[in-house]
Amino acid sequence: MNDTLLSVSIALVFGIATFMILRRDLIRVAIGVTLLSHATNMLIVSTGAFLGDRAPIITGEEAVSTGGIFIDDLAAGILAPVIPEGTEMAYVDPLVQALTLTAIVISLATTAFLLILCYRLYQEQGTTDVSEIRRLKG
Amino acid sequence: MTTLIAKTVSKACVPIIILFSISLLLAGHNYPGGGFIGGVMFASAISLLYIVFGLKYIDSLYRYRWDKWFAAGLMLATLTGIGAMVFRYNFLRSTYLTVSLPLLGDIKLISTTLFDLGVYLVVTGSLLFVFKTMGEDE
Amino acid sequence: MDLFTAITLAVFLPFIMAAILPTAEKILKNRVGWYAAAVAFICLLLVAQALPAVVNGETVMGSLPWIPSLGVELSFYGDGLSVMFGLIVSGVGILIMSYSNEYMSKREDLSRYYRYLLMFMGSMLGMVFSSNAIQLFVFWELTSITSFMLIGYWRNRPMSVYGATKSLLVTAGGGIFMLAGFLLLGIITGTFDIATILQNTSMIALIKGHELFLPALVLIIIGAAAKSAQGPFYIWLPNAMEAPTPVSAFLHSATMVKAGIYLVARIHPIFSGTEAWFVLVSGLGIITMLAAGFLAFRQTDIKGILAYSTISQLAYMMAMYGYTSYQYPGIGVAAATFHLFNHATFKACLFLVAGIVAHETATRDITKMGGLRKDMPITFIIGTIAALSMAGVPPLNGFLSKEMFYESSLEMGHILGGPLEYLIPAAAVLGGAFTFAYSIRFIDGIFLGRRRSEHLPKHMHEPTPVMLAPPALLAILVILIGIFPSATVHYIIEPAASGILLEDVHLHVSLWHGFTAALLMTIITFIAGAALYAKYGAIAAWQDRVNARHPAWSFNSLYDRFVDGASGTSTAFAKVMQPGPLRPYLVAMLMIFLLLSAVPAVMVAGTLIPAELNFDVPAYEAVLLGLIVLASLGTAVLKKYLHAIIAVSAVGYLVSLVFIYLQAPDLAITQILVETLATIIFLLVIIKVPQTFRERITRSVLARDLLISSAVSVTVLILLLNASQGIVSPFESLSYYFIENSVPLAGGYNMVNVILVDFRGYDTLGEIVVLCLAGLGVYNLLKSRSDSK
Repeated sequence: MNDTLLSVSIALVFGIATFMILRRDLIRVAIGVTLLSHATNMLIVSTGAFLGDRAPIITGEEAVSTGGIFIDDLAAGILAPVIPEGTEMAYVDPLVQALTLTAIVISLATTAFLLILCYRLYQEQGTTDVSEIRRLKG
Repeated sequence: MTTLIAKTVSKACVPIIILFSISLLLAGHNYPGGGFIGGVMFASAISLLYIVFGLKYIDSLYRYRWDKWFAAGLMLATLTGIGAMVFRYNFLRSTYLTVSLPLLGDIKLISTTLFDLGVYLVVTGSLLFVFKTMGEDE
Repeated sequence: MDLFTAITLAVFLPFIMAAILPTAEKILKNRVGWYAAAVAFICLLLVAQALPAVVNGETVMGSLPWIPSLGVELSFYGDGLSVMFGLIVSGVGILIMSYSNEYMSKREDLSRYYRYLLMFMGSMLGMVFSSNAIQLFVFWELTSITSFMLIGYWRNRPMSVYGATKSLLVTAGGGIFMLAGFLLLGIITGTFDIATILQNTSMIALIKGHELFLPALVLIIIGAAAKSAQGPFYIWLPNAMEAPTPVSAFLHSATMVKAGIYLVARIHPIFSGTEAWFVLVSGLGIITMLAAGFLAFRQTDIKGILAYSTISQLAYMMAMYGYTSYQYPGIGVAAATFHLFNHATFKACLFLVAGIVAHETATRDITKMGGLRKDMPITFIIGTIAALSMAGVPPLNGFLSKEMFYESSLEMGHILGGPLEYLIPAAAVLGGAFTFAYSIRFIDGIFLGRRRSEHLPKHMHEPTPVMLAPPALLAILVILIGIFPSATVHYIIEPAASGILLEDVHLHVSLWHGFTAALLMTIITFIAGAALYAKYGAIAAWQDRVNARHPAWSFNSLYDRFVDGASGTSTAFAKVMQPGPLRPYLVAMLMIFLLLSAVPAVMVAGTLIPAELNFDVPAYEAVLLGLIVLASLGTAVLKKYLHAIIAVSAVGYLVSLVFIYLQAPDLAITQILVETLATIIFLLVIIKVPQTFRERITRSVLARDLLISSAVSVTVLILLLNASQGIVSPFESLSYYFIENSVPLAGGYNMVNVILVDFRGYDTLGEIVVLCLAGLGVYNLLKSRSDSK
């Protein structure tokens, strides 16, 4: 799948997220991090979507064959599963989706952690300004 | 938020959401779903309760220790892995067998369902633990 | 139980028992030392099972799968040498742990103490039975680490911490050299299995002829010397005396310091019979023997005497293992092995006696002691027996191995000829004379002479039988081996020497073997040693004069300067690399991201924008993407937190639609749910954090940030465009494997879930651990405050 509009949008979200992360206000930095993780997730999934055009769920008992020979055997000196070039695939890449799925849930937990950190900093220092907090710390 | 409508609707909805989350967990191996999704679904159901009825009210009914959930989940996931080692396979090696039950027909029992249950418990427990700790903070 | 299982169990049992020791401590309270001693006893029984086999010249071999898919195995190899070490380690372990029951105060953290001791014992057993060199290295470093923890047991004493750090830096640092040596061996032979190399004469010949022979030998010997405190690496052992005395007796006399000797013995067949071996090993040994012997003589701390004497005694063994020639590769092997065993008995005994004395007198300074024979007659007798054995006085076991040392020195000298024919035996006699002198000083200084009551407590008495029995047992062993050596020699020393030389060894050791040259040397040794001791005052004065005239330069000061320099350098480095403000880090990270991803992508593709751009998308998608960009812009533009958060949630929900569009149903569901929860968290926080600060963005800051952001944006775009054109990667995608095997191997139709819980289950396990940690982190952030206030 070759989708330039999607690529441009993802790139723009990346840029905006970067702009937010460079702010001095901690809450805005946290928003920037969230935005960045959205952009990254989209980026990873979109690269996987170029493989095929069906969701990675096998329906029925159909036999799935990519026609490749799989030898994941280190003794034979093969470091990764080998498949002949130019194999056509029906499904989108399931691996990137699996990676992203955990990333989404973990980013929720880390966002929560980050926000609590901001909150505690605000309680201790009375401000959410990064430069101000640094000056107070000395 | 705590209007009568919200309370009534959530009373009806929460059990359904919880049931749905469990079905997501169990169906995860073949259809969209799994431990992560089911866990987040469960966590959102409970947080709906917390928001609509208030943390204190829910606690007065039954005081939950979500940290025990994720501890149990982590333990379960690890033990599933070690279980495979008992049979002299690699850590986390999975297996499945098909059993025929009178009314239900052929059912596939997959050892990774236990691992997925561990994931489910960890996701639920840690998210709700974060929520509750934040909500209780004065 | 077959022997391989027994040995495997003996290695892992101490670790398992150490893990459940805190539970045992709750039941046994301060009697937990007996539990540890029982574990050591079981280990002794397990190791002893292999004894009949190795006496018959058999070896125990076997392996367990560790990482089967990488071909890594946990393999154990037991021959006479390993079994002898195993017996010493577990046997002395029993005595030490029993002794500690009385020695360690009830107020100490006993659980920690015994846990470390057991872990040390397990690592030591694992090391001597390791067949694989890499595995040997792992256990080797484990002994360094457990030794570090035991030396630093009293963590509040600065000297304890200093000694522990020093021992770790020196021994673990030496271990790195040894690892490099093993890697070279692996390069030469293609295997890391020491047992395989030993049993394959063509491999040994290959090593001896290889150009990497000398580098490999030097690296391994550096490791062994660091562990056994030989040559310049001796500096750590005297500082290690800050450990509790039972620990010193166990680690720093009987077992851990012998690991280096073990290594030398283990690789003996591979490297011996060459000039390099003789020069390196024997040379190192003889020099260390003389220097450490002299230093031991001059110590005033009783544990210091024993520490330097240990260095010097280990150097004997080093020297003997080094004696080699082309015809007779193992001239001193039997003698060295016998001495190694004897040293374990009398030196552990001496340390335990020193522990008793220090315990009763509350000092370790020998100049403040004297006349203790009246207060503690039994301790006096035990200490005297052990010290005389060290001095080489008949009929004790030290005499036998000292004689053998002289014999092999004579033989080596004879083979070499020239001036060395006399120099090597002379050096041996001088080393022996020092040994005699400091042994006598140990007895005389502590037990004999006049009681200097101004320094000593009024009431001193014999310790309880619990503390007295272990050294007494060792002293009895010292006498028994001395008078009836044949049993020990037949069952322990001969198999061990056979294991080293890879051929059957038969020894004839007896107390009286005629009037030989060696006996003459012993007599000279006694006379010279007595003379040295008589002239102690003059020698001390001479050394003090020399020290005063020359500025202090020593390996110790070199070590201190190195460590201080290293910590200074890293502080300076940290100051430069970590200035403090957040923004420089971010900018640095982003710049590196740009350099590392955009530049190679452009270089590979050869063009900035690949030729085919495709804007042919359905209208709903264009609307969706437009909304995402708009909502993202909103987060940056909207002033109020609440508005910005609503905008970012909008982005999140829209992203879930994108996931549907990209054929990812699981992700879409998760994203919607997670976004809901994330919004709740955001709102919970901004309720408590009012918007007091509003950043005023100046024009220059705006220009700079826009520049950085657009650079990032363009980089991502280039990457994505290139990816959509398909950069040919060196490997095909892993995903094909998952697609094809999802149903047959894992029995699941949802490939995403199958990857998560099955194929990549290990990753998922790590990720749920992260979730747990995030939860605990939040809890600590919020709850720790109430403690501080």
